[in-house]
Amino acid sequence: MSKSSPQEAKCCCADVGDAQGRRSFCLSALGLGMGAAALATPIYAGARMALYPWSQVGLAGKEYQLSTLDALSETPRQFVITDNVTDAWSTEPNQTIGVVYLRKVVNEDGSVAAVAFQSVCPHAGCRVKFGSTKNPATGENEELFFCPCHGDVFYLDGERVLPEESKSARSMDSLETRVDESGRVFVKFQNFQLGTAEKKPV
Amino acid sequence: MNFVKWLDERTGLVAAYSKFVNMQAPGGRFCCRAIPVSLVFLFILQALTGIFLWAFYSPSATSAWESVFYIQYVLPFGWLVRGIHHYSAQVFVALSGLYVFFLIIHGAYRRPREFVYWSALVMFLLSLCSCLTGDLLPWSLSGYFATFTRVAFLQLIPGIGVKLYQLVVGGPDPQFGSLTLTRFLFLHVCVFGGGGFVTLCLWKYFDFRSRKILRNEARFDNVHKCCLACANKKTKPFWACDAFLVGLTCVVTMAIVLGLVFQRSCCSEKIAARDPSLPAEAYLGAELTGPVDVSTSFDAARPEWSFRGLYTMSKLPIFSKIGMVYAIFVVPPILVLLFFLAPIIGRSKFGHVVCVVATLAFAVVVVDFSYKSYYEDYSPKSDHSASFKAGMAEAERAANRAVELAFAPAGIPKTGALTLLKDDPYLQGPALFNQHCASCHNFKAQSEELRSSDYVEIECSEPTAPNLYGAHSAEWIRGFTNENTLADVDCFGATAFATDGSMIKFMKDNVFGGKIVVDKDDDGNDVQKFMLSPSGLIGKVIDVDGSAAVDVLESVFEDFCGEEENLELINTILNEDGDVEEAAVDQAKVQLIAKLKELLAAKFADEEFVAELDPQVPAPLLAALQSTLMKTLDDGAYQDLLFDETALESIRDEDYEDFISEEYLARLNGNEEPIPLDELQYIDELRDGVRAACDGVAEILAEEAKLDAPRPFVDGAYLGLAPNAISDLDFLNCTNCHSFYGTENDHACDLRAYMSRNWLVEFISDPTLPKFYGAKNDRMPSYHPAEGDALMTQKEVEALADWLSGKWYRAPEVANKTLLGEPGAAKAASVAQEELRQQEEAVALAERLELDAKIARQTAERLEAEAKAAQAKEEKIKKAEEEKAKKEAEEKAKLQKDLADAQAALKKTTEAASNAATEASETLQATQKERDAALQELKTLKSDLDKVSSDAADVQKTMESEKQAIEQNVSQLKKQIADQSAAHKAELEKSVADLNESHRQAMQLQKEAAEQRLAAVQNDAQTARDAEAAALKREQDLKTALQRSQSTIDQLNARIAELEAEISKASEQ
Repeated sequence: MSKSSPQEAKCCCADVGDAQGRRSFCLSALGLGMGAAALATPIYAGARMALYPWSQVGLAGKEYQLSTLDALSETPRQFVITDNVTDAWSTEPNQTIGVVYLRKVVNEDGSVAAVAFQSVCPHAGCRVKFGSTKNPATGENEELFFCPCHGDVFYLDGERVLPEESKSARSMDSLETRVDESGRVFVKFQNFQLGTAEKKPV
Repeated sequence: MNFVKWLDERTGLVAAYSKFVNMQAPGGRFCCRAIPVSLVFLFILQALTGIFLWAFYSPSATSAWESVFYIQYVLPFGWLVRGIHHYSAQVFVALSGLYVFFLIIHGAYRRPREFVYWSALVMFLLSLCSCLTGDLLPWSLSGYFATFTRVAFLQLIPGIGVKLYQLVVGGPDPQFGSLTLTRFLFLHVCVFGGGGFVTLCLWKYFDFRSRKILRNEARFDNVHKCCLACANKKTKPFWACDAFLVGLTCVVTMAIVLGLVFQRSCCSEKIAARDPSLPAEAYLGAELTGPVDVSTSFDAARPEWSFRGLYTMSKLPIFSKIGMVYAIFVVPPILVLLFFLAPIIGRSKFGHVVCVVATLAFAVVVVDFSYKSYYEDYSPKSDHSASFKAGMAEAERAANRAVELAFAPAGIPKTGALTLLKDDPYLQGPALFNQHCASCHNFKAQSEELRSSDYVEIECSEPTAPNLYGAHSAEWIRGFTNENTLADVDCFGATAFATDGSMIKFMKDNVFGGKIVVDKDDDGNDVQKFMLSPSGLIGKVIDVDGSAAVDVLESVFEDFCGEEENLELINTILNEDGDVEEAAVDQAKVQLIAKLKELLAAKFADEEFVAELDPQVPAPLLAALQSTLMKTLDDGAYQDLLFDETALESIRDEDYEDFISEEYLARLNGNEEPIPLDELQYIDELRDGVRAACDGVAEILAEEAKLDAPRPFVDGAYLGLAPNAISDLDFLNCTNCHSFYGTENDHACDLRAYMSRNWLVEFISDPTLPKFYGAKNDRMPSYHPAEGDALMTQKEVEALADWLSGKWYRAPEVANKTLLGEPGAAKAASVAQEELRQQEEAVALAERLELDAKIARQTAERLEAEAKAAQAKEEKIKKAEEEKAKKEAEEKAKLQKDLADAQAALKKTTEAASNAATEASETLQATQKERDAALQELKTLKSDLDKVSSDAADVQKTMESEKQAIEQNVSQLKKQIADQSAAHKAELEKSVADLNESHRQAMQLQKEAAEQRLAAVQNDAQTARDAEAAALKREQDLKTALQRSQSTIDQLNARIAELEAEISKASEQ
């Protein structure tokens, strides 16, 4: 290899005038390339290994049966969602993966539906509470959702009471619900990105 | 431009860059520098991959193996990073050793390069230490045991050994633990890794310096020409040929490392031979043996290849004599010291020769020792190789199983992968069997068809209980339903049941129906004969009275005679008119036999007829019977019998008993005597038929072994039970002793769900339960009885039962037949299998629920019917009860009323009695008073009378006063008596009246006497005496009255006592 012909050198290093220089450049480039290639293998493998979390799929989209429609009231109730949780190499059954609020809504036409909200505040991730709190719009005490960390207050439909003044950029995150023929209520549990005005699943 | 200037000024980067670009390579040939370049590259590789691994590794006893498992099998290219790290370290050790070796051989260790040599030697030693500590970090079986032995040698050092060992291990206990791992990680990364880096830098520096010295001064002799050339002032630019060669060296080094990484998957044969249940990662990179289980003995624990020489040396006999401590802590340090002294020894030419020769000798010894070590382990000629290979296989089994279980849907628990292995029936079953069962039970495949790759064989040197290999299979059960194999050692042969167990006896006598009897022969001598037993099954079928064979033949002959043309055939054969040709007769004979055979076949084809046979003949025996009877018709002797003139006539007259009677079979054999069974023709076929029935039972029971629980009773049948199962077991008389569906028996083991997992759990827990062996149990301990000491835990019993019945997690097949396999194939396969299992489970659950509902419905219906019946019955009873209750109530009311009445009466009577008593006592008192008064009065009267009689003369004088006194007395008496009379009550009126009367009389008399006395008082004393007599009489009367009142009181008392008794009786009632 060290005795590579000038023609070969020429073809790969055309813009270097001096033949000796061309040869040196080509050899250097080749050497550098080979060294880089040799190191690329462990670096690539290591990077793939280290960046594994990016390629993993989270909890998104799994449905959990939480209650039956009959058992729900219009007052939101807190439900803990449990599942087998895999933490790196170990798996533990029946671990808490999240908390949601679930309530019954009677529509205008008389039909009944279930509504679910993530209990995580879309602002900074605190646990939103439900209870008697001062409604900033009216100044009276009402049963509302409120975040104990930064004081945001939400109506029962998850909307911010004062959208303009709220710290949270969006209303409470609603979750998809499904009611089957026998009246069982399923909730599709998801976590969402915090702080954004748009609701994006993580 | 300003930026570059600023940057250069602050950092010197631009200057460094231009220096880098214009870098000069040392002179001389590149081959001298190939190993150093390669070493630097390898070090960078290790540092790089080590950092990546460090980011995922978790040093603790419950997470080290698990995190390495995660790196190797779950993380993308984790196996590659780990493989490069592992093998680059091995190559580093080899190359640094080789480098030191070449330094000595080439004399490049001599001055002025002493420090270059020493730093290289330190680097080599550090790399060895790094390997030693790194080996433990995965917390795998091989690494643990290899490291454990090597570190345990520390204790050999006199004095400080134990303390030093505790310091390294991180605890007082000899076993390694989490602290050992944290320490080893620290040593591996900081001390040996960091130390290696420092040494590497120093080495480069010393090398650079030595060149400078050589260049400047020519006072060193015996310097190797390469070193001189390197130090030559004539340098050349690096960024030319040298850069290319450095790059090439890196690529070649990397290629070697990658070659090692892929060595276990280097050819298509190896890839094809992969275990289908393991992902491809198991065959890529560094091997990961199973998680550490200190309870196992890992026979294949060996040091890494770099320590193999030392390993063989430590096993030299001399060290077992003088002490192991010399092999580990004296000889190697001396050798290392000698190597360190080499530059000093080698200063002279002779010293150099000594060094070179000694190094060559040392190298030869190391290679030889290492070779010997490998030879012992791997050569088939070696004694140890078998146990080493077995240990390796065992470790591989555990390792593969650990990976399979780790990929199972349940995953690795927080307690670590060891828990998975400890709870795994597949791994623990053999260990438990060995511990608890193998003293009596063998576990060896009896036949090739029984052999399964799932099971290891466990040998018992003197088996005294059944061989349990394949205990849930039909083949195994068949051993127990065969009268010949039943008495084998593999079955009941060596148990207490061999001699007095009824199963063997039963099979021989009752199922296969023969027995040895003693009979007399013609000369009167005793002869042993094997006789047909009427109770045996064969006897049942071909025995004479009411047997199936007779039924069949009778029916055949009946049918035969029922057809006119058949009788024609007989006529033809008989040839009564004598005008039939012989050929026609023969033809008729053939036709007759054919006809009989046809009829016989028709009989067996007639399901209705077969079903009505008595006794019931099971299918396999039916076939045997048919074939036997068919053969009979083909039999010449029988045909001769049949075509006998009188015989044919009797058939024609429908009098064919002769052909099917008791003598039928005897005649068939040309023997009038009862037939010994072994002389009977065709008996083998019948015997085969029974055997087939027995085999059928084995198949039925093998189905039972697959159940979870005994079959439920649904729709009037046992769910999924073969329709012939119950009748076949009945036919073979199994249910005489065993429980089966519809039959409860506790003379022998329950055959419902026989040998199934749950049956085994119960059986192993307590074989002395009535549903198993009961009191007849032969030696088998109760391993987990309901009461008393348990020899195994419930979990262990379940694991053993799971293993025996083949119920353990089986990993799905993985797409691993390409070099890298499919990424995430194992997890995906496991998830797919789990989904499938869940689906199946859901279907099974639905089916079970449906079934449960059905059973519940049926039960409900039954219960309802029962309830209705019960209700009707209850109503009846209720009515009766009501009536009874009514009656009873009435009676009770009556009784109560009676009682109340009695009580009231009693009360009244008591009151009356007490009143009466009071009154009586009052009266008595009064009477007594009265009497006293009367007596007093009498006395007074007497004294008066005496006075009167004595003072007769003075009567005149005293008459006045006397008269007064008498009058006074009388008035007093009168008053007294009047008072007393008033006090008397109605009941005592009589006595009172009497009393009054007597009083009045006495008073009258006294008055009269007093008047008479008064009239003729001077001389008439007679009147006074009359008065005295009257007084006496009155006393008598009073006494009588008293007695009478006394008796009344007694009567009243008696009445009171009576009433009291009544009261107590009434209250008792």
